[in-house]
Amino acid sequence: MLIEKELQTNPYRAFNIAFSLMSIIPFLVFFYLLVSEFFGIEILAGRIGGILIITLEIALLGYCLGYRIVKNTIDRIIYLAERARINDEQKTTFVASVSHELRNPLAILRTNIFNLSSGLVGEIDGEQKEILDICYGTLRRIGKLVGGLLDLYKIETGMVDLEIKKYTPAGMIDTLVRENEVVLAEKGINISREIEDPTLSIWCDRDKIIQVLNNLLSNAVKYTAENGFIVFRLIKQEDGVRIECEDNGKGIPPDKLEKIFEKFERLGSKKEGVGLGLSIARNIIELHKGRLWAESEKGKGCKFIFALPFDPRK
Amino acid sequence: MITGTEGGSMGENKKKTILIIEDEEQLVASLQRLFRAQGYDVIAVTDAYGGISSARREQVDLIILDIGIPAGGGFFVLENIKVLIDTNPIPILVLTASTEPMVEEKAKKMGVSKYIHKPFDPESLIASVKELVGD
Repeated sequence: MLIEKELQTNPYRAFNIAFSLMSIIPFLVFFYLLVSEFFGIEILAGRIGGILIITLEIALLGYCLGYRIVKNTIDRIIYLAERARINDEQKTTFVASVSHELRNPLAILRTNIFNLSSGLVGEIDGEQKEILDICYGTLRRIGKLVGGLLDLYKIETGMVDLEIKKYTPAGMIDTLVRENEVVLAEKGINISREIEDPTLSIWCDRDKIIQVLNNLLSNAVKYTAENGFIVFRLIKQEDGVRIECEDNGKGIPPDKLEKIFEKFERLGSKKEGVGLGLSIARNIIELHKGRLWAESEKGKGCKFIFALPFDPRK
Repeated sequence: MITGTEGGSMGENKKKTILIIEDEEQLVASLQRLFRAQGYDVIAVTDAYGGISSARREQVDLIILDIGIPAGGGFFVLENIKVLIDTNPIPILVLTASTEPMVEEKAKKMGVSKYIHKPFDPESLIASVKELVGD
C-alpha cells in the first residue's frame, strides 16, 4: 500500500523501478556469456554466443533509448499536469476576482436605485419610478447571472461541498409551494401535490435540492398559460425517491429534451433568464448521485423528473 | 479612518447605532442613506483598524462587516473584537462579495449572526438588520 501511494505521488519512482527491473535482462545475458567463456558451456559457444552478444548490445541500446524516451514522456506529463494545475488556480482566481469586481458595483447600483425609487433622495413621479424599477429589475437579473455562473463554475470544478442531512422531500415541496403562493395565485395557476408518503426521508443538501425544485417550478410557471396547472409528485422507489414536476404548458419538442440542460440554452423564446438554471439543477442532482431529465409531448405540457438515492454517500 | 458619522442629535438616545466596516465608499454612502431613512444612526469606517477602534469606543447595536477590507480584512476585526463580543454581545452581519463556503463557515464559527452575499436585496437587508437589532 505504501509503495502504491508513493507511486501515485512520485511518478519518477515508478519509472526507476520499471527500468531497474528491465536492466536485469541484459545483465542476465551478460552473466550467461561470462559463464560460457570461463566454464566452457557448449550451448553458449560459436554462433549462439555471437547471437547472445548482439542481443546484449541491442538490449543495452534499447535500455538507454527507452530510458530517455520514457523519461521525456514522464517529464512532459508532469509539465502538462503542472500547467493544468496552474491554469485551474488562475481560473479560480479569475472567477473570484470577477465575482468580487462585479458584486460590489452591483450592490452599489442596487442600493442607490432602491434609495432613489423609495424616495429617500427626493420625491419622484410615477414615470420616474417606473424607469427606476426597470433598472432595478435588470440589475437583479445581472446579479442572478453572476450568481448562476459562479454556482456552475463551482460545481464543475468540484468546489461545492454538499451539506448532507436527513430531510423529508414532502416538507421541501411544501416549503417551495408556500413560498411561491403569491406568484402562482397572480397567474391563476392551480398547483397540486401527489405525495405517496409524507414521512419518507432522504439524505441530501436541503438548500441545493430546494434550488432545483425552485428552478423547476419557476420554469413551469413561466411556460404555463394562465389558469394552467402544475403537479408535484413524490414517489417512493426501491433505491430512492422520484420527484416529478408536471405542467400543462406548451411542452418541449423531442429534439430539445436533452439540449435544454446545456449551458445558456433557454426553454423557449422568452427573454427572461439566462439559461443556466437547468444546467445547474442537473449538476446538483448528479452531485447527489441522482438523475434529472425531461419528458414531453408537444402541446401537452412537460414533466421534469429527478431520481435521488436515499443516501448519496453510500 | 472614520469616513462619516451620521445620526441624530444628543436628545435622540433611543436611536440604534449601526457600525459599517466597508471599504467601498460609494456603497457606504448608499447604506448610510438607506439606514438613516430607517431611523438608525450610522458610523462608517473603511478599514479593519478603524473598525476595531470604533467597535471598542462606540456603543453600537449592530456591526455590518465586509470581509475583504484593507488592513487585515474582516477576520482580523472579528479576532480583535472577540473579547468585546463575548462580554457584550453585538450582532454582526457580514456583507461580502466572497462566495467561498470556507469563508462563510469560518465567519459563522467566529460568531457572525448573519451572512449576506453581495449584491444583496436592500429590502432583505433592512429586514435582517431590524431582526438583529430587535426592532
